[in-house]
Amino acid sequence: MTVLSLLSLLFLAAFSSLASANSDYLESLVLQPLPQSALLASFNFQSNDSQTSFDERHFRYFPRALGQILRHANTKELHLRFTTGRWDAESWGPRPWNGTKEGGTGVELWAWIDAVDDEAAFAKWITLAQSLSGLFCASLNFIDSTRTTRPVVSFEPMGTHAASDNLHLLHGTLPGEVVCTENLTPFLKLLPCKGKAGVASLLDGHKLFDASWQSMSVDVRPICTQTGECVVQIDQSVDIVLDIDRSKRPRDNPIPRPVPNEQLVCDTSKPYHSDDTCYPLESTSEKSWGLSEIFGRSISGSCPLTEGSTDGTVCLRVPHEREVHATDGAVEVQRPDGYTRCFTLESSTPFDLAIPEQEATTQVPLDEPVLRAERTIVGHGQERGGMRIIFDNPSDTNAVDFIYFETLPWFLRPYVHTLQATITGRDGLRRQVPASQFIKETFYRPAIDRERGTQLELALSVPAASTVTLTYDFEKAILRYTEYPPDANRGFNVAPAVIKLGSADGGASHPIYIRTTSLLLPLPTPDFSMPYNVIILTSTVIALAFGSIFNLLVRRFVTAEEASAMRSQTLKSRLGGKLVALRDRVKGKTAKTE
Amino acid sequence: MAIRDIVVNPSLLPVLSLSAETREQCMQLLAVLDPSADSYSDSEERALAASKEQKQLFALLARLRGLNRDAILRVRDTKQATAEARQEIDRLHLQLQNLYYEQRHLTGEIAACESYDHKYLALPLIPLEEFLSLHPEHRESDEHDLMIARINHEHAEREKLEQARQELLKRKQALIAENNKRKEDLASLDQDLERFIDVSLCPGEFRAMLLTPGRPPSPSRRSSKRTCINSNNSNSPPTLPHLVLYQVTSPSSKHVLVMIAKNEDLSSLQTVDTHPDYTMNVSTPSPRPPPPEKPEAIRTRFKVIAAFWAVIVFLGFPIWWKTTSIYRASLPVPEMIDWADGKTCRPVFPLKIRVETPHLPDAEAQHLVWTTQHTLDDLNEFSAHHLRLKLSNDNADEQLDELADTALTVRLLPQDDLINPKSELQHDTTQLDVFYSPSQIPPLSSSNPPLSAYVAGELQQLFTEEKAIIAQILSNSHAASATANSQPPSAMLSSVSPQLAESIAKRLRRSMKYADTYHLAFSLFTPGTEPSSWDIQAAVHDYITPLLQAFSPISNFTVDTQVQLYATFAPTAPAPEYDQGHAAWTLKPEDLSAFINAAEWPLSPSIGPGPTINFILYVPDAAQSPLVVKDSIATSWVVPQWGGVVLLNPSNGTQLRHLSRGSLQAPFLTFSHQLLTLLGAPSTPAALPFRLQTLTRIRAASLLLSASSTMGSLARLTESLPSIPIPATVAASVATTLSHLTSACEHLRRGRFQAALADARIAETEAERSFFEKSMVGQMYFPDEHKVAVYLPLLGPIGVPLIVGLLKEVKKAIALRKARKAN
Repeated sequence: MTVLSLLSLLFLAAFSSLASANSDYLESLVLQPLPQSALLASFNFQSNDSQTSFDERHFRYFPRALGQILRHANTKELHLRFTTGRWDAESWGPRPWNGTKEGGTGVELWAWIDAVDDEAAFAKWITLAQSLSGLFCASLNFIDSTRTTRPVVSFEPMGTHAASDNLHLLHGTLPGEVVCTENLTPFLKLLPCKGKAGVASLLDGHKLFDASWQSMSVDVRPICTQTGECVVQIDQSVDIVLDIDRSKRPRDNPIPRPVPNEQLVCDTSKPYHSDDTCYPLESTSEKSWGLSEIFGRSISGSCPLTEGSTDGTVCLRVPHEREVHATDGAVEVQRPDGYTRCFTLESSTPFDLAIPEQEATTQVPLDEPVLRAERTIVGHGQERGGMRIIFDNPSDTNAVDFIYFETLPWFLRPYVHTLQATITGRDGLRRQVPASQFIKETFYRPAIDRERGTQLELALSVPAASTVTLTYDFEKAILRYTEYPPDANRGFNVAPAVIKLGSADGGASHPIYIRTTSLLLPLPTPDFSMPYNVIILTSTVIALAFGSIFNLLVRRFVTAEEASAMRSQTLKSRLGGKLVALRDRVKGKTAKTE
Repeated sequence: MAIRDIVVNPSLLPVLSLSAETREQCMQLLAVLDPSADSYSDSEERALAASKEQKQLFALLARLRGLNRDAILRVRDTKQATAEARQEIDRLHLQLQNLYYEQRHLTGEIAACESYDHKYLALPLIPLEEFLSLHPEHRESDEHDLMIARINHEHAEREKLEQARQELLKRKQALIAENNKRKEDLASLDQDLERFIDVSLCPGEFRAMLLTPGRPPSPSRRSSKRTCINSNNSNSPPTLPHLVLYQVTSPSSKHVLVMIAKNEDLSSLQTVDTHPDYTMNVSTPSPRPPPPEKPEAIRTRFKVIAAFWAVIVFLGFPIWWKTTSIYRASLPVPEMIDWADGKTCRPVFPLKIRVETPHLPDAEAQHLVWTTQHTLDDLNEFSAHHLRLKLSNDNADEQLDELADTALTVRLLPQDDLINPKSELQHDTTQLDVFYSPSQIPPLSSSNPPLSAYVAGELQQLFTEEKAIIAQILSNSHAASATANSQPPSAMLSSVSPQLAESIAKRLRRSMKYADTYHLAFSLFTPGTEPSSWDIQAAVHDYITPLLQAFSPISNFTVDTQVQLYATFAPTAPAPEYDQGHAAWTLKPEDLSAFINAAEWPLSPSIGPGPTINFILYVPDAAQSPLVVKDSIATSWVVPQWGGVVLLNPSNGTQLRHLSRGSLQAPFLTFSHQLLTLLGAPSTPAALPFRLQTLTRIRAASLLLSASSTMGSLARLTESLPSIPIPATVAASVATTLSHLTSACEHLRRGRFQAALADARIAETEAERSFFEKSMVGQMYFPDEHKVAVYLPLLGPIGVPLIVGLLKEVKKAIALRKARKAN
């Protein structure tokens, strides 16, 4: 069962890459209702330009803005991810695209850059990040050497590259970046049909960023066939998990309302059931929804550039017995797996889907995730802390081999010697075991303050039906005064860890990626007015000391009477006398006039 | 008297009897022993009797001794008892004495108490009767309570009085203060008076001022008018020196200050306090000032202040200077400003024109060239731009050298049956063919042959626009150069036709700023979905690449192309209107600026240095086709300094799916024309190589001027902002710029325009780099005011005493010097 559903998703991906030979532009939308009234919508847009026209800078489907950035930065393969929210693997099952098209929270970027040496590659990398920052309106320019790593085993090139290329893989993350509409607009502009036609016309920033989880990805890779024809492929995808109830609320009045009394389904068997007392029953029927209800608009026809493809553009994964109303004119094809039906759109007529409420008989089966991972910061205090990573292998038979990759900011200094492993079986007994029992390989690149972060790659193996917990301690560095961001007390983001699993059938061709949530590390923060206080206080003290010493050295000491005698001769007293005289004169005059 | 009478103590009686018995025994013994009484016959008997008698005596004596011991012991006991008794008696006696003293003391105390004189008895209370009449309720109370009441009453009364006294005292203090003020007032008045007298009277004359003379102080005289009598009018005795007597009555109080006498150098004030009793005279003696300071103290103070200032000046200031100074490399500012003002270099354009006369003998050819040159010089009004004719000779190496910089080659070709000479500019080379009939060969004698005039006129005609453009550039760039030039370019400008001048100015405004690299971006925009492809590779190759190759000595180019669908107009842009007359949709010329939807259309500039020139091929929707510009029915226009737009209306209203090479020909020819305009090439003549030559000269001139003015701006900037740093790289760039400017100017003068352009390009690049050096800007964000504000708590309290001390010392030093000079 699990393999079947997994295959179906893979099939879609594989199919689209196969179809690339026929058409230069493809787009698809897969809708799949998930438990807890969630709906997964996977948008995928794929366009190809031939390598020769790409090299001659004649861009047809490939966006020129991105193309010239890639040329300028010597980038052969590019992967860019914008993600918000958390994929709830417990209830939603495995990730779409096996996690290959999603990133950690925030922005994640990795690319293969052709350069003679590491320095040149890094210079090109910075150029790339800064150009992309401008293109996507994201703070990618903050990817500097401290946020850049060079993973060894965690990522593999997806495209075909000439052996002569001296490729460098660089990887950077911005876990604190907030993904929003300003990133979606340039994303849509890269599409040949913009957001004007095809499934992309559903993408609306208000709905997209209201989702429980959403991920945008841009992948550029060169693909060469056996015959030697090469194309540059740009693969853009948007995956969102929408809450159906939430999305159906009217946009101008999004406050949730209680169910009206007459629509409440009550458990009448309860002894207290009466007119004004109700024990609400879970609705067993599947919820009704429609495309225009959820996205606020319907698909405005297919993009005319996709005409070469015969496959349906919009696919819906519900059981076949489920009633589905589609707009007339769309051709419906039901797949033999029993759960998938696809619609081919007409180019001019808008397309809408509506699914009425229906008693649920069967459910689309969801796979069990291959591995569950969780990463948290433990410990207390301003100085030290600890990291705890929990890997849970739900399978009862197979051990899971995977690569665990994490990048830590330089101000988090891990003590790798404290790395310890605990294993918990299904019996719930915890056993302390040496970490080397699970770690088959380690690649560790320690941090250099203010220059680069820690890079840790572990090849791990978790035995069947057990939970392995890795822990290590770390120390929190104290930053310089100017290195604190304006919201220093919020904490510092620690990028999510990336877990790469070999594919389920053991082949290396389709790895599965899992990312943990990003972490927030509280660092000791100083009082930011302190330097000024220190300057002013010390200045005052020094001035006081100086003043008294100077006066002692310079002043002449006389008796009080002598001082008053002197004072009477000084300018001040004379001035005072004059003033009095003047006043008297004025007064005298006024008196005379009286 | 018998012993029996004395000793009566019974204890002694046995002693007495025993002693008597002993005595008797003794007597008997004596009797026995007495030889005279020979009672015993023999001596032995006597001796026996005697020893018998002796033994008895001894017994008696022993008894007597025992008694004696008893007696002595008894005496001792008795003495003991006596002593004890006596002690007891003594103690009792002492007690008695104490009691007696106590009694006496108490008696004395009682007497003292009885005779104590209490205060209240002596209190000056009001009499009892008076009190009782005031407080009749105490009439029944006993004496003690009455007294208490009386005392309390007295106390209250006295407190009231005390309060009144304090008030009076305060008033008195106020009055005294007022008094003092009056006194000071008088003192100052006195000085005023003195000055007045000094001024009003002749010096050395005796004078006296009498103010209400002889009036006694009287409180009733509230206001007394002051009168001043000049000593000249008074008849006061001349022997009274400076006697001034006056009285001022204060209008507000009863105090009258009287100045008794006033001397020139001693002022003593006497205050007469006219308190109601008029008796108290208070005289305040002036306090004694401290003795003058010792010279050592003054010297020490001077040394202390000098030491502090020495530390500040020689240690603090240099450290501050060293730590806060910014590096400013020295720039040749006057030279730079000279460049900007055009004083260093006057751009001249001596154009070399080769004359090939394959069918003329040398002498005649020489003459023809000479006369033509003469005519040209006469025609030319703009000395900076002049043509130099040169007869080509067959020297090969010279040709190689010269050929590149030759602006034009004139070939004189004889042709029969021509009445007038005619000329033809070749399209692919810079060659002007002049055809003439052999009869028109001027004779050597003629000074102004018609052929020369014709050639000169043709040449002049060819270079008119170039001259106008260069004159425009020169006059635009700096007015100063006009004055430096012997012949101002404005004069040249005035000679060209206003239409031409205007078109040149317009073209200059439209053309892009010069850059090393231009990025050309060709974009196909369509509001719908079709056409979505074009034969761009072929079109670029056919129409754009040759042009770019021709331009390669001047600039480099990159070409990008893109296809963009769903490119709609901006919502704010006015929609095209349908014009029935032309059966077309029209755009108003004034709305063309809003045609490009900059927000939506992806026309981002290319990455890398250099500007981007955008060329937009817009294929309107079938519903809005054909789309033209209103009135002129044009389908293309140039956006100044940005690019060009061409509207491609599909023929006969059908929508094209693909733009073929053929349909792209017309738009791309328009694009190439727009590119030339945008690059600033002149519009005439038609020959492209000739126009490029002209462009070389124009660019060289404008780059030279722009680099010069950048130098001037940099010089002015560094002078006007003394706080910005000047890194060494800027100085190096400036030096490079200036050297290249010099060589460019030299090349211009020699007529080597390609080399001049190359130098001017480097100069411009370096000038821009030096002007936009990043590290020059950073310091601006830390102004000195900020630092001063932070360190003011330190600088203020330390600086003020130091400066005041210094000022005092300086003042003292000046006073000392003056005093010395006076001495």
